[in-house]
Amino acid sequence: MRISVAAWSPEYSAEIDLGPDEVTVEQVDCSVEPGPWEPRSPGDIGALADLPLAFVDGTRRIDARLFLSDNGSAPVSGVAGSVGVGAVVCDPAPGGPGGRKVSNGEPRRARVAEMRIDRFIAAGDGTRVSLSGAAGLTYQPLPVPGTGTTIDGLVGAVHESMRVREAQLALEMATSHLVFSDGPFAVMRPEAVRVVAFIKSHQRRYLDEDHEQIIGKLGCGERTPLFAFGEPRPRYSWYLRLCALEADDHLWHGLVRCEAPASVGLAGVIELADASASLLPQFASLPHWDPRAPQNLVPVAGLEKRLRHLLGDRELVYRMIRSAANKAADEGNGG
Amino acid sequence: MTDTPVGLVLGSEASNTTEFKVVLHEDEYLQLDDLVVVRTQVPKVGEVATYGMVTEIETVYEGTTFQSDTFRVAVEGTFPAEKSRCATVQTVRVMPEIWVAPDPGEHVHRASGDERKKALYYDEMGAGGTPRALPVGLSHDDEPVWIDVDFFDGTKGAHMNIAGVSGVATKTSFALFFLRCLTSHPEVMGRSANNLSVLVFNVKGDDLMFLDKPNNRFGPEARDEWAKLGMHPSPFESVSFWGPTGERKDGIPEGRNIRSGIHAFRWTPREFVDEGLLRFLFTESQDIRQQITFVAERVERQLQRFAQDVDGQPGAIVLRDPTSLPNEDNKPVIPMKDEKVITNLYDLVEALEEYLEPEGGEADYAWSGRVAPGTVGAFMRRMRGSLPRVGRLVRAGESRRIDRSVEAVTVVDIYDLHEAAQRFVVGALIAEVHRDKDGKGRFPLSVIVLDELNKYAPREGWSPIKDTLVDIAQRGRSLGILLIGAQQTASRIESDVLSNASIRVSGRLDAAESEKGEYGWMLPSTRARAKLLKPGTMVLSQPPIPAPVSLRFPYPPWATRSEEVEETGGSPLEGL
Repeated sequence: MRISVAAWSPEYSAEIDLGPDEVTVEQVDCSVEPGPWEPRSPGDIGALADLPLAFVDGTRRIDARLFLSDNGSAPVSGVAGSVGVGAVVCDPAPGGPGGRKVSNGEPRRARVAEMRIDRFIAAGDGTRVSLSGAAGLTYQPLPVPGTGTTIDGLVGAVHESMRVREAQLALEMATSHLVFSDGPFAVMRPEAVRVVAFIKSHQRRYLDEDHEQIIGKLGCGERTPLFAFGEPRPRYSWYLRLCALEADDHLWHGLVRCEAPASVGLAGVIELADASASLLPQFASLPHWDPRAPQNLVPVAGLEKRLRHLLGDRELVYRMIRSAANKAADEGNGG
Repeated sequence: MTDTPVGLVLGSEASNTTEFKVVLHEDEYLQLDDLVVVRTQVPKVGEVATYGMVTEIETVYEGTTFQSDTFRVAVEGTFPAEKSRCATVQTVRVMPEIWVAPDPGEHVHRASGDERKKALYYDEMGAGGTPRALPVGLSHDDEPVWIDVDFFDGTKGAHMNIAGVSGVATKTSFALFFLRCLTSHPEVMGRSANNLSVLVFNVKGDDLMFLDKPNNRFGPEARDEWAKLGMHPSPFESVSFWGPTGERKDGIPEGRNIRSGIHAFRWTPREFVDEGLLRFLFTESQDIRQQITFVAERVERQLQRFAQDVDGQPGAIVLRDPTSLPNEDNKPVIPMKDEKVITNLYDLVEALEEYLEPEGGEADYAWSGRVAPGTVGAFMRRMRGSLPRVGRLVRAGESRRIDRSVEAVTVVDIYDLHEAAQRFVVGALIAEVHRDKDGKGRFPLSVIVLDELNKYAPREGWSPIKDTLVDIAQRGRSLGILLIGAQQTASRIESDVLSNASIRVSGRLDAAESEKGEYGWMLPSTRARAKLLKPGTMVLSQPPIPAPVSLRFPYPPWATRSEEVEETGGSPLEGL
């Protein structure tokens, strides 16, 4: 028996936690891309190499749990949550991986191009509640329909609103960037021709045992051929390895799965897949640097840190919610 | 406040009443020593202006955690980070005097024009409409830096001390430049400028021997700098030069006759006795421990009682017991057969032997006091030992004392004298200035410039020179004697002398020296920089300004070497 230690720090869920198959492997079509089922090394990625890259990610935080009641009725659960989504733009690096200078000879730079913070109060029974605190702290209503929504359900609603915003930003950035969006697609539109979703952890198996053998053979910067699945959102997907395997690594180490909507077309997705295999390993993080290395990409880690910072100090925000709630209650009583 | 703000008061760290930070706008900068002003609205008070001086600048990529993140940001371009630049500011003044810290996020402006003057307390220098702000140098942005002369001329404080490593600290150059400032601004100096008399010792090379000659390397750039200080660049007008006379005959020895017009000086035995100069032969700090100074005092007193002028030999003396042969009207006497005519120090030593080491007898108690015979022996050995060093300075003949009254500045060349002889000359002259001024009121002021102060007022031990210097340091304000002392290491100076200097100046300091407590007036950042100061750049501290100010002073219009002396006869090609 071979024992490998998980690369991600134990405070995060494991990068591989394969549960019971929901998508049965029979539904996955491994024959979409022409050629043998062998690891593929991208060659020249053509015009995509000249596009600036955008990394899109979001973060969310539950700031407070609330109970909402009207005229002595039984309280309805609510959560106040903050959502931040943003994008880091990296200069293109002509010459492919290892290219360090942009075309005018300046060193390549990464910068935060966009950061958007939204705050919501998610409440069950379709309840619409908003709250305004000092210094621009405003929570918009996020009604969740249906009775008996659990706290987990409300948190899920906040999470979903984050993913919608991520997708929206990814689409905006895609007009002039090659976009890598953290996490699977929430919303996909056919115009998303240059958006690649990359998924850091693996909760599901997509390949049958025969096809899965390829994962052990993937070298750094190599990808699997495309495979297709998905209703109602058909998509192409592929695995790629971000770093070389060390002797004691498990075979899924440094593995990410990417997706692109099927609507982009097979040829377009093959280009995106090659571009991802060519570009993403440059952005892989190192174990001492990030607890979720190498899958948590360096620009994404930087962005996440900034977004979390912009969500505001947790204690301070909590206090402001309390005082805003008090004030609202006083006004309600007074009126 | 004329320009756009350079940045904002940093809000992510606490500001306090002594220090705050400024995060800079992307297209602005601040550098060390820049002066800034922040206006803060204080509840119930209104606007408070905080003036400060930049003491440090920091830059960082915000958001980076690991040192290698710098590569990720600057080379790989994978990590997003903002460049942040931040200046640390030392508060120097608040107006009105409400001691609050500036609010975070307030706009920070450069202090220029009148704001700059306020930051440097220009408006506080002088009272009753009399300006007392004397420009003594330029800041890095070519604006004048002032000294409140009230703190030099004795009105509120006195004396200046200059520290710094030899050669690069330009201590003497600054002292001379300062003297020129004193004499160039009568409107500031007022009564203090009248008949100002300056005594300077030339200790090294020829530095000070051409103060009255124009410098042929003086260029238009320096001229501009002098103009910015409101001064006409010209050599010192009224200077007399003095050098020790030669061993055998009167006059400046060939080797030191580096220019015309140097007056030769020496003392006659009569002057030596009358002015009590014997003590200045015993100026080493161990002399007091060996009780030699006790014998010296005794001998000095006896000499004053016994010395009689010699008829036909000006300045010479004979020793004659006044009790056995009284000379009521102090007429010159004709020496008797067994009396030794003392025409120089060698003679004096021989004459003293008769009283202190008589052949086959014991020392005369009247001369030696009741000290151990060994002490008397030590005294005589030291007397003899000093002969080759100091001997040339005392010889009978016409009086050739240094006359400090002929010109405003008196330069005394002691470069080629042995250290013991240097101490003798310095001690004798300082005592003379002290004696002349004692009880005669402050004016006219007398300035003494003394380099290598550590030789004359060392922290350890006692010497008659140190005694005088301590008294000048303590009472100089009322005596009207102002000491401009300079040394490499302030930590070796008698603390009374140092602590009484209101104005402290430092050029480049030795690294270990700059950490000593004597430089407590410096900010930590100033100490760090004091190790790196360039020649011509000094740090200045004065009581009215609570932070040291750095300044540079312009190139001198007077020559400091013979090669720099401008030929006044005009070009040899002229008229062709």
